[in-house]
Amino acid sequence: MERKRNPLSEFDWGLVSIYIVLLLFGCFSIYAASYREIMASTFLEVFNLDTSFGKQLMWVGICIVMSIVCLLIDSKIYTTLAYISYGVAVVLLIAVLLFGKDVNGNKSWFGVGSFGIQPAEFAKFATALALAKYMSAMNIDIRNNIRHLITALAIIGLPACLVILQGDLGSTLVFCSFIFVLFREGASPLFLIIPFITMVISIITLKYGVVPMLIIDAISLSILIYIFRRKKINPNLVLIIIIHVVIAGYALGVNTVYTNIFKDYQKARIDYVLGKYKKEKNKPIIQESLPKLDKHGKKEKKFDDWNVRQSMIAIGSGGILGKGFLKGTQTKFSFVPEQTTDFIFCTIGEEEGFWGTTLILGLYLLLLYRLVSTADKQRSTFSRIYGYSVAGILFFHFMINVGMTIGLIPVIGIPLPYISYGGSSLLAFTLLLMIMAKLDADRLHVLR
Amino acid sequence: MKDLFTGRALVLKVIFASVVIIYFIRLFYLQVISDDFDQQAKNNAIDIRRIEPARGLIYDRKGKLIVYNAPVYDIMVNPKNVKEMDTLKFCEILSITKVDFIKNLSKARSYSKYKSSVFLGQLSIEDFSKFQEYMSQFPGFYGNVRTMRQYPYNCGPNLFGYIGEVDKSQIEKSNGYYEPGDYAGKFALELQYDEELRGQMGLSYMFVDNKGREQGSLDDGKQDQKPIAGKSLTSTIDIDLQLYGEKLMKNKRGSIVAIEPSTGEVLCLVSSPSFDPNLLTGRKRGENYMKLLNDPQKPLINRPLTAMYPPGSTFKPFTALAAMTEGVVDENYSWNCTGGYYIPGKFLKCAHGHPSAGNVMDGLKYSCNPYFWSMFRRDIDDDTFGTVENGYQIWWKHMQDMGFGHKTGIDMPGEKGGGIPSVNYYNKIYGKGQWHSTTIISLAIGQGEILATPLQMANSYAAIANKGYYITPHLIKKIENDSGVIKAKFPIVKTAIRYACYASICEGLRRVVESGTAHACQIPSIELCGKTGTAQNSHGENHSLFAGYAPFKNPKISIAVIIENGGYGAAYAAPIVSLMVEKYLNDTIETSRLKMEKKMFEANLLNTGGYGKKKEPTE
Repeated sequence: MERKRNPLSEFDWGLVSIYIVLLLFGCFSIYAASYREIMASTFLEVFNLDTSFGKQLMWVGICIVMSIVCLLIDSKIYTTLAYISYGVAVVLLIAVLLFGKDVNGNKSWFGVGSFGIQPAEFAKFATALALAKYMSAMNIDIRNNIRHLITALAIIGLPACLVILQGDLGSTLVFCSFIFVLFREGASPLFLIIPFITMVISIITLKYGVVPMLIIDAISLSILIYIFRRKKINPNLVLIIIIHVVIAGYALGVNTVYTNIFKDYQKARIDYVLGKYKKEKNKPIIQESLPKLDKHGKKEKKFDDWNVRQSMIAIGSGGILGKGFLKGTQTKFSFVPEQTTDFIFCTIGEEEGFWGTTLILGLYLLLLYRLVSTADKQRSTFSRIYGYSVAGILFFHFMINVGMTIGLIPVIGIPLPYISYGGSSLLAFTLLLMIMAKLDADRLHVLR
Repeated sequence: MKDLFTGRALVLKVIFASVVIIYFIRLFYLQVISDDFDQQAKNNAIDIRRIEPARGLIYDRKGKLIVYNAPVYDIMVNPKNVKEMDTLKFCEILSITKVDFIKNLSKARSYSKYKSSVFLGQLSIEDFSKFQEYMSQFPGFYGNVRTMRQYPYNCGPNLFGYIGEVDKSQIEKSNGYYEPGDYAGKFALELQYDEELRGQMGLSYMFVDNKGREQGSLDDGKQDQKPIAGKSLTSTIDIDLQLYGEKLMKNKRGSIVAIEPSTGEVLCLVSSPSFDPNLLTGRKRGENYMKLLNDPQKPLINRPLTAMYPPGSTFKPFTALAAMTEGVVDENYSWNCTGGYYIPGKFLKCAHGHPSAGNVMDGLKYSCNPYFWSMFRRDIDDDTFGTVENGYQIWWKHMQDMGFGHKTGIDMPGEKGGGIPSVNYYNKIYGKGQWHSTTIISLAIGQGEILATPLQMANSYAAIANKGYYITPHLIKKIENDSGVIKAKFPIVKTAIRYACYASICEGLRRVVESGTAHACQIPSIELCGKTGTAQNSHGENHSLFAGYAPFKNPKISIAVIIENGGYGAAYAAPIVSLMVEKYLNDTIETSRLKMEKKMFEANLLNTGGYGKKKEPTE
């Protein structure tokens, strides 16, 4: 089967082109977002490792090297190393819980000098490999064998649980993206429908209260029973009633979790997206500067919608054409928080305007479609599953990150792939994509 | 099987596309449709800083600088940038209490949460430099230099007024010029000429970051506006004369008003008791103000313009002028004074024994009350007028022309108009046709319902000195800025008195000092003309009055002095007038008169008339 071939000619250059454009966009945006830091440096210092921009450039270099390595080594290694890398990732996730650096209350980093490494980023990638490996095995059938399905879910669930223990909600959510893979490989549509219904119930409960939700539930049950009686169909009434009871219980549960378990800042973020903050022109956009004391004499922190408001001001003030490169005041003067990482999309929105944000949306859609099409072309199940995993991971990152900057999703700290500053995530996303490209390039030559 | 899978791939693609389309619509709304984010971004990042211009200076008539500016520092606060900080240390450095801190901060917040306003005003450079050292520890707070008014002669608080934080009505009236925390003229000249003195506020547009730190200026400062300094004023005041007047009036209540008759320029405007106007600048302003407000001697009253007294005998020349103009008497009108005057049911006593007056000159010289009573009755009872009402109406009109009964129109806020009762007033009190010349006879000698301010008295004597007109008294003669000088113009007011009548009145006023009631106050080298007055009042000792002008020929100064509860006009008012006139015209006091000067300096009349126990006598 092996033939002499030129690996470059069979490489999916379309995929790589989109990757490069996004990477360039990212570098420019990081340069703009950290412009103040850059202004304070001399010309040469800009490129050394003391600035975010300099560090990012170094990571881009590492990524290029790693991409070439990916390209050159035999793609068999990924199937071979799938479980091993998964094991290593799990060990790292446990280790980081024990020895990790505490950043903003989250223990998700290993500090190495001035660099930080986030095992969660690699865990996603390793999970994708392991899942692909498991599900591509000859005798595995998640459609009909419930044990196989549970095993697949466990492969996803183990790292997800470890990540949530770190307090990294964003990365945990990304593990949900593997549901797309399960669905694609034949798992029940309920895997998509149930989360969707759950989301709708949660939104209704949190926005309008638990009582309206229960009323809606009761009405829907009555209508269903009425219709069944009328049409004289005899469905499983018990099941329908159980479903409605479960829904009611879930709504109550959501409400309890929201009021009793969520922290104030989390509530504020959720409230903002649900539109519970009234639009007042003169509403202060500052955090309470003099903290009030609670009954224990401790400073009571007040949270409001500062982050999202600033983010939306940045994007909204960009207008159609943007303020121009390096001219964004919201980002340059630090009104937008985390502007090089989680809120990097604001810099694009403010400086490049609507055409810039539209371009990013377009590039991502193109990337996702290309990945799905590429995955579907694969002869090997491993490659196909892996391809869908990559698409799912990228989609979740994109959806949560952009959604939060434009006020549609509560603020969850998660990077925008290829654009946000951050070495671990950039490298992980690069490997994710490059391995797919390599698998694709080898699809005609290797049978897995 | 294969179909199921492609169908499922399609579902995923649809999900991806849906999210992208929702985001696209959202971005279209945020970036294309909605337009309030741009302003919000500007509000965030652009801080408009107002730069206060230098306030105009004030010079006296000889070019001496009498009001200028000295630098002081305000602590400004921008509430949006205030972060957690060591409040205790902050309060300690500025020596304020925590209560003050919370109060001032919430005041600034209630003004604006995003804009800077004054947190603590008017620190000296010493206090400010202490703060400046630690300023970086207190985000949101910064210093702003501005100027404080200085009054180097420590006199004339009633003249200059003071600068204070603008109140709501001033902000509304200023058409957006003033904002809370700004300082504006609050009283007297500072208030009257505030628009000229304040100049034009400068604006600078600064970029600020999320912590309020400056990040350079917008468009390299192309949109900034430089402040334009206020215009300088040249006052008509002779600051030396003002100082001398205040010295003479020390420990007395009353006023001195001196006017240059030929121009209407006010030479001095002494209100006593006085105080150092610098008390109303700086941080202790509020405290000092309350002290002055509660002082029983009422130093905050601008007496020359707002205190109203019966003019007493100083009013007699006007009674004579009116009667002579109407032709009912001439200058040789005589009256045999028997020490009193009979009106139906009453005998009015003449104040003092003196020979009978054979003409109006001697009538003035002896200040004979019956002489003017009879003259007044003849005037308004004259047959040509028909009724008393008509006669009185014409007399009333003459008094109005002479500047009584209405505001003179001086360029200072708060002036009062005094009062000459009108025909209607008497009709109301007594009923139409129920009052006669005898009813209102006290008016002839400046008593009864008649009231005049010291300014009106000095001004009406300027009309006598000018023999027929006065120029609206004023305090500012020139307004100057870089582009030139504007000369202030004030209207001439002519009286209806016949010119020929003035000669005898002037001669009479000369004789008052030469050999009459004020002969003790002669100035060897100057012919002072004037009239003593002793105004009865129900609140204690009589007020001592003198009004006059000098020299007899070509008058240079007309002046009125009122010493509340000072007794006879000749006791205090006349000597003080003579000293003022001598000081103004000769610049020195003759040795022979130094004794009198000393006596006047040292006299203390603050406790006469039970002041403080009884009501304010003049209001």
